[in-house]
Amino acid sequence: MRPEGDRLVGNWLLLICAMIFGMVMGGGHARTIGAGFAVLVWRPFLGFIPPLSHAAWEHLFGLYKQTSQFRLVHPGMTLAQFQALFWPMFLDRVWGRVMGVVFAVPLAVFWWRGRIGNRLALWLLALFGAGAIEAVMGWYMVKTAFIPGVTTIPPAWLAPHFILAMLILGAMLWTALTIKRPLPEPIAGAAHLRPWLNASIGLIILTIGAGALVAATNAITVFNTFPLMDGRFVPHGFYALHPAWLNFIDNKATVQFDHRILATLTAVTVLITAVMGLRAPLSPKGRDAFLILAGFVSLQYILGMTALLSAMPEIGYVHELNAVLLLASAITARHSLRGALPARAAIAMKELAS
Amino acid sequence: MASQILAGTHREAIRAGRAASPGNRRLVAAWLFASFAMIVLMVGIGGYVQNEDAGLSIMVWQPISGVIPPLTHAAWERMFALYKTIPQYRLHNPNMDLAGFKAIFWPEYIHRMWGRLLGIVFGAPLVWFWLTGRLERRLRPWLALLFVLGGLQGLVGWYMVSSGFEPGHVVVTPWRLSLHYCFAVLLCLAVFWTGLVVLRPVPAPVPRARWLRALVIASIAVTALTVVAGTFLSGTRAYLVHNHFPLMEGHLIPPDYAALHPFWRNWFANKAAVQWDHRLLGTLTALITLITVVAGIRAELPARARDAFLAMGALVLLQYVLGVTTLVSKILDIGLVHQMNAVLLLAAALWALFELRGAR
Repeated sequence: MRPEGDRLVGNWLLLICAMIFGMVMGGGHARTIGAGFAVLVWRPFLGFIPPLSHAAWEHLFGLYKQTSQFRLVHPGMTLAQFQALFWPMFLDRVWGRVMGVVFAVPLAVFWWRGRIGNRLALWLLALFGAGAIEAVMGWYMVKTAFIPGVTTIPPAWLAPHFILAMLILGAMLWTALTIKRPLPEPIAGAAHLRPWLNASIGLIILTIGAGALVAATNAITVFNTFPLMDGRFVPHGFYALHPAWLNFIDNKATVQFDHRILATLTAVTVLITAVMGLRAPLSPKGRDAFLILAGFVSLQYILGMTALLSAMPEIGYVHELNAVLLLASAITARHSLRGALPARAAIAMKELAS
Repeated sequence: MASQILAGTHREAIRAGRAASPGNRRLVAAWLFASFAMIVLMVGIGGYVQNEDAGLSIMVWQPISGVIPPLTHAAWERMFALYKTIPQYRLHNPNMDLAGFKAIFWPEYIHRMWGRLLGIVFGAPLVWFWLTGRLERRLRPWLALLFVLGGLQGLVGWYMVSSGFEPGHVVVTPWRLSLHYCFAVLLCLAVFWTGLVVLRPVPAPVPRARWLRALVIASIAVTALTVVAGTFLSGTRAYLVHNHFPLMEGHLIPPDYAALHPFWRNWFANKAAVQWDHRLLGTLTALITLITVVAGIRAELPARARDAFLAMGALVLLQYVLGVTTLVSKILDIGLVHQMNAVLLLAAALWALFELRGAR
């Protein structure tokens, strides 16, 4: 890694981050329109070729017809309707392949030309592996379509799938920022912000996981009231399922309650962090990171509330995308404080210098 | 004679010195900020009276003797008998018994008592500070005026309440409710601003901040307009309709917006129109204030000025969330907090303006 920073390599990884965001856009859109089970084949290399003949279409439609989703939810579906579901899901998968190429080819070239060292190359290979695991996990998630009685993506698959995507994005973003600016800048009197940002990032990821459960269980359709849930703080039917732990994955009431509580906790924590950051003696640029953080978290809470009250999945979709931006802004703010020092250490350093 | 004048001037000089000392300034400012806090609470109590439909329960205006609530059963019956003469009783509460009447009497009584207490908390120190020379010369007539205006607000309250007794009325008229609320907010903010000036009379120069001050003034103006619209929303009970967000029963603009004639009457008497106006203005206020806050936080300002912008940003977000929450939940207690928070938001914006007094 170059001590003065490598803009090209850093920007390449930022491009990958943007592409992961695009993947979330595609996947979220496919889920919102109910297309999650539309592509029921797994051909990692040749799957980019779409069905070209009527027979190929019929084969794919035939696979879909074996699912409980088709039999129980869409028994009258025509081929044209199937195609309308197929394309968004297909494009999301192609996007994943493109991303793999955009990641792997420059990685090989940079490594071969010695622009990146072995350590960094191995780390990036590990990230590539995580991306491959994400893809395999996605396929197993889709394959649940063939289980009798399963009519939507199971929450226990969707949430880990989304969380892993967020972890990959976070690692990629951190790596990109570090490559662009390898040496931490010493910032006096800002060390107290770091644990707050760590907590914020942890809580955001946790809330995102809970949000994925809300999306997967379609919990947006119930308890469309705020702040109470149909007049109660803890909703009716909180422990309706057995065994008890199942409620935290598959019970709409419980899952929505969890997401509300976690989101409120996250919003409060992130806002406190942002206010502390804005009041700390940072440079104007350092302050901007916290301003953006405050903006995204406020918007996120309002979007979540609005999605719930209006029961509009489209707003929920925007809420999902904004969650990714919120996480990215928190990670960026945390990265800018790698060199943060306690106020006392800064004074001591000044004395040493003079 | 000459020595008397000299002595007088000397005394005046000592007094001026005492009035200007930092300790004294903090004391006077603390008194003003305490009064400010009490007025904010008064706004909350007033909102509670309105939520409980209790405003018309005391049909007499006795600024002094009204301190004593009904003490005997006969006195209660007299009060209740007065209430029984008005349309609100006949049309809304024909089956109300004495216990039900007491339940609406007490909130209104407490509202009025709080006003009297405020008069003492503001008036007594005013006299004492004045006599002991703790007030700067220029402050004295201004503070006396504020005291008189506070008394006038009590009269405005009675003027509002009396509109609810008229034949054909079951609640007070929205116009007078608006007047009463806006007057309270103006007084509250005047006290707040005076406190700030007492605390820090000399503005520190803030270079390159004129544009920012203009933004703050714009925020205050649009917030004030939204507050006025909000009083009509509250006065017409427009929170009872279209409890959806962001759309109003699926429409961006409600279809019955122009139901009344002439057209301008819709802005004050048509629930759908009044609510739509407040939504639009509230959204505009949130946007303009947030732009101002972001600009303020990004500018090179002293730490205190930045804090003012932070407070403004926090309160405007809270205000929007509270407004939407009140609307969709129909929980009027949240509306009450929304009403109080409106005053705090304006105060925070004034604080930001105060910190930019020395803008160059």
